[in-house]
Amino acid sequence: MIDMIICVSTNLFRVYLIRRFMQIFFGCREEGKVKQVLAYGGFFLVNTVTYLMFHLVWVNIICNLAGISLIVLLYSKSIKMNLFVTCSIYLINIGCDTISVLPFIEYRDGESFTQIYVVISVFLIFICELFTEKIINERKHTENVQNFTLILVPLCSVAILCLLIYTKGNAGFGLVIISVGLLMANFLIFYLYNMLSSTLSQKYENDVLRQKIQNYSNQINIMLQGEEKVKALRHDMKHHMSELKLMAMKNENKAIQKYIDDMEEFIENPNEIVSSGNVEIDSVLNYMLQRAKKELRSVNIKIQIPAAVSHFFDLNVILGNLLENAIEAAMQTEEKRLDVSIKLKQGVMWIKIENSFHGSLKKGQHGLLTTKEKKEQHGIGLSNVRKIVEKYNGIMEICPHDNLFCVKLILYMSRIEN
Amino acid sequence: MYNIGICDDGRNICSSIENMILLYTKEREIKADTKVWYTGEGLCRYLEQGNHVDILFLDIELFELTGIEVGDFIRNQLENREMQIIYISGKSSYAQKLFKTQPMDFLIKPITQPQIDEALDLAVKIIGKNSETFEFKNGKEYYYVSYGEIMYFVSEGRKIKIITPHGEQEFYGKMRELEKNLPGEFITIHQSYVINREYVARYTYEMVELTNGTILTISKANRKQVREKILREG
Repeated sequence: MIDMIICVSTNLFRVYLIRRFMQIFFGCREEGKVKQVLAYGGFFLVNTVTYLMFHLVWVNIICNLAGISLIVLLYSKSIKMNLFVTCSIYLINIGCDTISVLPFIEYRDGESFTQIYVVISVFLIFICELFTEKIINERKHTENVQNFTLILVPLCSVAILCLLIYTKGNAGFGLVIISVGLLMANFLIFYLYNMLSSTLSQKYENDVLRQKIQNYSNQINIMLQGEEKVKALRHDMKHHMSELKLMAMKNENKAIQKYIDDMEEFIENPNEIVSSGNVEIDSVLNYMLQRAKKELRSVNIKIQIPAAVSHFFDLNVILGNLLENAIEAAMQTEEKRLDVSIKLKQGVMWIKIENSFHGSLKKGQHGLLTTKEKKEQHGIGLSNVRKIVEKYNGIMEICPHDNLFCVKLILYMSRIEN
Repeated sequence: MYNIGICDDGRNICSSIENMILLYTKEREIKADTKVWYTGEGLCRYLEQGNHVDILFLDIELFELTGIEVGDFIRNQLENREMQIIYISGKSSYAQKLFKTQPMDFLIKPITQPQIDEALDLAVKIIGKNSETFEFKNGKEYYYVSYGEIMYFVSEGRKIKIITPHGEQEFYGKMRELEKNLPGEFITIHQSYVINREYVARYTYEMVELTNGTILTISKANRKQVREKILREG
């Protein structure tokens, strides 16, 4: 009876682990939920029943291999992939089983043995799974790379179990309850962790989106203002022309020049600071720089980029955060100066933002620390911008001079297929 | 002596740029000859006849042939990569194609003297660097190639090949020794490749594509170094 409870719960946990493995290899799949439930449920039932009935190694091997490869079929039709995934999952399984069972008892085929060792084995598989996840996610540059310390959870569980087995002998109902409890706790911790991290990333995406919408609506306003001015000028064109003609007839060159200057000034849109034609970049820069022009004394901008740049990362986030930091810092100085230069050369986007800067920098363990009082209010911060830049193989450099704070970064804009 | 060309359909703009160039050359005591075209066709015909222009101020919005087409003609038909092209335009937005013609700079009208000065300073500096020559020995004779013409060096065994747009030459030598004496535009991307950055069309983290379409790999050991150099020197 005791063995059966452990057997069922370990098997359930094992199926959960296999599902995690599948998600590492094939990513999350939302479609075909019914099919998935059927496949995993069927696998669990068949596996548990055959195991409890026969206790034979070869039956187990066949049952496991066939089950896993059927589950892989849900995700991929390629035979090569199927073989690879099935074999690697099964090898990890069998390896962990061997490590956890053989040192403790002499195993003979067909005999049943205390299931407590299987719990250890499942934890070992879990640790392997976490390692694989970490390695593969890091290589794929996915966002949610797990914290390494998470591996400590199953590791501690294994330690606790080993300790209990040694001190109390290997029977006892208490041990069973503890092991089932540990399995549950492990499952719940990771389930909650995943939920938490997905909510966090959703929140981050929402923030970015909100910022983007703000930028775009500002840009639309700027465009409308420009449009209206042109309309007004066109409406008065006849009047302007006759006025100019009159002045020309009287040879009033100075007055003509003044008149044309006035017209030029009228048509200029003070809010349209940048017009590179690249909507995404224009909208961030205009939004941020409007504020800069209001608050700062000297704002210099030099932008040389094509109207259409295709890119695969969030320029809004990078530019928005850097500019926000720069403006904030420059506002607190006497000089109130901001220089922005962005250019695209040889497939590389080159961004340099310089601002006058007052006060001292604190160097932290991971770069510079903020000197601002309310840390949580300030975007995602320099270190996060650096993370984004580095995720795409770019590089960012911060060079604080005496009264000048300068951030330089490059991003690779194109991909070359060899 | 520099040949400076100006190509713009606005006569007033041409003469105002010409005046600013004259002021610049007088101040720095540089000898220069300026020439003006009002159409892209005129400029192209002049260049086709084998005439030489070092620095060109080129309007993007010309009448028939656009500045982009002229730039493309210079780079791809005439295969002239050494001319320093400075685009001038009334607008501040540029077409993607423009960036493929290796512009040295962009100026937005109205153009001011400091802008012209800055652009000419840079152009003169680049031309000066490009006209320095690389010397090597093949057999008993010495040969010279100007650095501006060298696209890249490849080491093959004990030999080093020099690749230029017009052909290849080779000599016996070691890459390690060679690297030390090259000017700053040259950058080691691989133990057997040293490239001239002026001839790079596109960079990625792992590879470079040269203006003639050659794709070279940046070796793992050199990637970080190359990236830092791009960041530093823009």
